[in-house]
Amino acid sequence: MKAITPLQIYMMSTQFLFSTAIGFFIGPLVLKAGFMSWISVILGSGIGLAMTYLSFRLMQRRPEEFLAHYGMHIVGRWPHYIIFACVLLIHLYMAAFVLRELSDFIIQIYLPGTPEWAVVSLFGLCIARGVRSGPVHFFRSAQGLFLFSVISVFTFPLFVSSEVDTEKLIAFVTDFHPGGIWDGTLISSALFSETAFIVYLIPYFRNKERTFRMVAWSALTAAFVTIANIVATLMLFGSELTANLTYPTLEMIRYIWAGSFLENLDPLLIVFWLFSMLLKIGLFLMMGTLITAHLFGLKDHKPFSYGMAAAMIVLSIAMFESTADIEESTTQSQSILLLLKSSVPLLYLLVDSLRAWKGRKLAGQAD
Amino acid sequence: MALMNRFRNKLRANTALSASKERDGEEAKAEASVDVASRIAYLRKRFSQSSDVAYHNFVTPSGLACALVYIKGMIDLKTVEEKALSVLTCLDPDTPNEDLFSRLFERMQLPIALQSVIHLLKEAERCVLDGEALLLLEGERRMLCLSVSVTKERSIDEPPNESVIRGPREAFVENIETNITLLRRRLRTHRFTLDMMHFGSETHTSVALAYLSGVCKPELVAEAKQRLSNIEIDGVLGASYLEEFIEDNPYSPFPQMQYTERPDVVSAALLEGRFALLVDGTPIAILAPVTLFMLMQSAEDYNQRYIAASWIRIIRFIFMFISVMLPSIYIAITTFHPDIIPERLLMTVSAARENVPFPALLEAFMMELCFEALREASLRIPKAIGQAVSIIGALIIGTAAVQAGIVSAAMVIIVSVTGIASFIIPHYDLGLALRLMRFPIMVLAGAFGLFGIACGVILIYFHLIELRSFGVPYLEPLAPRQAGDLKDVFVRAPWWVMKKYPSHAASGNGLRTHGREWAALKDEEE
Amino acid sequence: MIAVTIAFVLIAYHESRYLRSHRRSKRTVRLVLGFLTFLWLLASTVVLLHGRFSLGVAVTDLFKPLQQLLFIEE
Repeated sequence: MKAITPLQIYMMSTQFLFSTAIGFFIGPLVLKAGFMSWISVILGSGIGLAMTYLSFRLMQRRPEEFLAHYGMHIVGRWPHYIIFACVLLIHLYMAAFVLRELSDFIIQIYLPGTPEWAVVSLFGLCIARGVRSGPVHFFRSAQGLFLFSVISVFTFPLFVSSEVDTEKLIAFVTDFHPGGIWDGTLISSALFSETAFIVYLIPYFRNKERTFRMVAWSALTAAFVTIANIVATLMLFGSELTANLTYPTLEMIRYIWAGSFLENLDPLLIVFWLFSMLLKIGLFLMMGTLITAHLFGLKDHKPFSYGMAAAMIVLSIAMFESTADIEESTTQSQSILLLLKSSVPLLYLLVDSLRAWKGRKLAGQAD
Repeated sequence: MALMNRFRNKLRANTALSASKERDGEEAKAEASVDVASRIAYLRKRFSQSSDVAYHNFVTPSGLACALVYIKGMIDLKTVEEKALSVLTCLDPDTPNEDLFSRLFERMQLPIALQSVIHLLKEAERCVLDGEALLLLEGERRMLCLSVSVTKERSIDEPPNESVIRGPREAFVENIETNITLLRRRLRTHRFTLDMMHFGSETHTSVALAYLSGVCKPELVAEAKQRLSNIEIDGVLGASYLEEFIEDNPYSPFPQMQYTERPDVVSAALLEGRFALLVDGTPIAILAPVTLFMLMQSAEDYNQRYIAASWIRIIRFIFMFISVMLPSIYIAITTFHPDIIPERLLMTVSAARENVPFPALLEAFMMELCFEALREASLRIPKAIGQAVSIIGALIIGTAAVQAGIVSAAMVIIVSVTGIASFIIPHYDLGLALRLMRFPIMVLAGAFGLFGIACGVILIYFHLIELRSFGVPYLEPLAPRQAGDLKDVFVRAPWWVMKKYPSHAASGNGLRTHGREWAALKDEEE
Repeated sequence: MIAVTIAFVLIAYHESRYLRSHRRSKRTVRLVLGFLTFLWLLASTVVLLHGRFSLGVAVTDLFKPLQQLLFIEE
C-alpha cells in the first residue's frame, strides 16, 4: 500500500493548490485585499499550513489506519457517520463546483455553441478514469504532468513582464487596509487548508515523517506561483479592473505574444493549466470515493468511482443556473465551506486529545 | 424425446472418446514390451495417417531383429547409415545379445553424439515426431533415440526490419538452436540460463526462456514461468501466440512485450535484467519487461556516439507526438482556434480550404484512412510493381484530389508528415498503437478543439500510468520517477555514466561499468 | 432524466460485472448497488428540480451568514 513517495505528494499538492488559485481566486481575493493580496496569500498559506499540521498530528497517532475507519472510536459511531457523510457530500459538491467553474470558463471563452453537457461529460470522463485508477496511480500521474503545469503557469507572469505598468509597484506597500487583508487571508487560508486531504490518505504514503515537510514546500511553491500571477495581473490591470474581471488570469495571458510565429498563446497555455485543474477535481472526487469505500468497510474504492463521477457530472450541470450564481457562491460561501471541511480532522484531533487527557487523568487518579 | 436421445448419444460419444483417450494414454504410459513387432504395430497404428514415416526392419549378424523408425526428410540418412546401421550390421555374429544391449544402452557406444535411452511408447512417439531416429531391438524393452535430425534452414542474414548503419548485421533465423548459439557467442558467461519448454499439443514447439541469473530478478523469472505454465494451446507457430497469453493487459493497444530479430538487442536486454523468449520456427524473440521508453530506443542508439544518438532520440520523441497529434492540432486550430496562427499563414490555409466542401475533421479522416489503406496494401503488393504503383498512386491521387478540391494541399502535407513521423518510431507495435490513438483524438479535436486533444491525451496518459509489464510500470522512469534511469530515456548518456543497472534488474549487483578513471588522472597530470 | 437513468443503469451493470469477476461478497454488491441508487436519486432530484430549486444557491444561502460573520469588509 505504501507507494506514494514524498516527491509525488509535493507535486500533487502544488498543482492542487495553484490550479484554482490562479484560475478563479484572483478576482475575489483582489476584490477584498486589493494590492495587499500578496500579504493575504502569505498569511493565508500560513494559516492553511497550520491547520494541515494539526491534521498531520492526528495522522501521526495512527499512521497505518484510515480516519474513516478509526474515527468512530474517537467521536462515537453515529456522530462519525454523520460527520463523514457530510464530508463525503462536501467533496462531491466541491468536485462538481470546480468542474462547473472550469467548464463554464472553457465554453464561454473557447467553445461557444458547444453544449454544456458535452464538455462537462468529457472532463468528467477523464476525471472518472483517473479516480478509478486509484490514489497511487493518481499521484503518479501528477508527477508526470508536474513540469508542464508549473512551466506553463510561470510563463504567465514572465511573458507579460514587458507590458506591465511599473508605476503601480508602490501600491503593493501603500494600499494598506487591514479589513481587506483579513478577508483575503480567510480566502487564502480556505484554499491552502485544502492540503488537509493528506489525513485521508496517510496509509498510502511512504516515508510518512516527511509528509508535512513536502506539503509545506508545496504550499510555498503554490504561494509563490499565486503571488507572481497576482502581482503581474495587478500591475497590468490595477485592483479595480482585476476585481471586476471574471477571469483576470485569462485576460493577462492574452497579453502574451511569443514572437511572430504564434499570435495568441492562451489556448495552448490554458491546456497545460487544464491538467492541474483536472487533477484538483479528480482529487476531490477521489477523496469522496475513498471515504465512501472506507465508511462501508470496503478496501476497493473502484466500484464507487464511476457512480460518483456520474453524480458529479449531473450536479455540475444542474446545480447552478448561471455564472453569476457561481461567482456569488465563490465570494459569499465557498471559503467557509472549505474551512469547515478542513476543520473536520481538527475536531477529531481535539476530541482524541481530550479523551487521551481524560484517560491519563483517570489513570493518575486510579494510581 | 428427440432432444433426450440427442443428449444421450452425445453423452455416450463423449464417454467413448474419453475412454479411448484413456486407453491410448494408458498404452503409451505403459512400458514398451520387449517384442519389436508389437512396438512397431503400436507406432504404425499411431502414425497410420502419415505416409512419410519409414520403418526399416533389419537383422544383425547374430540374428537379432532390429528396427529403425524415422520420418523421411527429417533425418540425416547418411549419418544413420554410417554411424548406426553399418555398426549394427557389421557386428561379430558371436556377440551375445546381453553384451550388445549393455554396449548400446549403458555404455552408449554408438558413434552418435546425442542419443538418449527411452522406455515408454509415448517417448518413442515423441522421438519420431521430433525428427529423430528410433532404434528398437528384439528382447530389449529400452529404445534408443538418435539425434540425427537435419533441418534445412536459411542462412543468417541482415535483419530486414531493424537495420543499422553501424553495428552487427546478424538476425535470428527460424531454428531455435541456431538462435541460442547466436546469443551464446555474445554472452559467454555461466550465468546465461536457458529453460526449455514445449508448447502446443499438436506442434510441440520448443520455447526457450533465456535470462542472466543474478542479473534478472528471480521473482521476474518465477512470474514468467508461472504465466507460461498456464498456457494450453493446440499450436504455437510464432512468438505472438505466447505473448497474448502472458501479457498483463490484453485489452490495451500498447505492446507490453518487445519483439526483436537482432541477437545484439536480446543480449543487451538480458544484460539489463530482462528475459527473452525464443520460439522455434520464428526468427523473432520477445523481451520483457518493457516500458514505453524502451520501445522508443533503437539498436543504432548504442552504436553511434552519444551526442548524435541523443539528438536522434529527441527527434524521435518530437515526431512521436507529431504522428499522434498533428492532424488533430490542424483540425482544432482551423475549426476552433484560428487566432493562434499568424495572419498570413491563416490566409494561406483558409485560401487552400476555400474550395473544399468537407469540414476539416472529415477531410482529415478521409486522408488518414487512404494513407492507412495505402500502407496496408504496400505490404502485399508484389515487389516488382510495388514501387511504381506507390509513387504513381500517391502522386496522382494526391495531386488529383487537391486539384479536384476534395482535399486541401495543407491536409496532404499534414498527412504525409504524419505518415513519415509514424515510421520514425523504432518498434512497429508501438507505431501501430499510436496510429490507432490518432483517430479518436481527431474526433475529440473536431468536437472540442485543443481541449478535446488535451482530454484525449489525458485519457491515454491515465491508461499508460496504470499499465504494467511484468510488474514494471509502463512509464518508468518518468512516472514513477527513477532518477538514475533517466539517463537512457530522452537522451543516451555515455556508457561511462551509466554505471548502475536499471531499477528493474536484480539489486546488489554493484557497478555495471567504469573505465574513465585514467581521464581524471590525465587531467591531474596536466 | 432519462439520460441520467440510462447512465446509472449502465454503470450499475458494469460495476456488478466487475464485482462478480472479482468474486466480491454479496454484502459488497448490495452496498455498491445501494449507494449507486442513492446517487441516482440525488442526481435525479437535482435534475427534476432544476429551474425551481438550485442546489448551489441553497448551499450558498446556508453558509453565507456564517461567512459574513467572519469577514470584516462588506
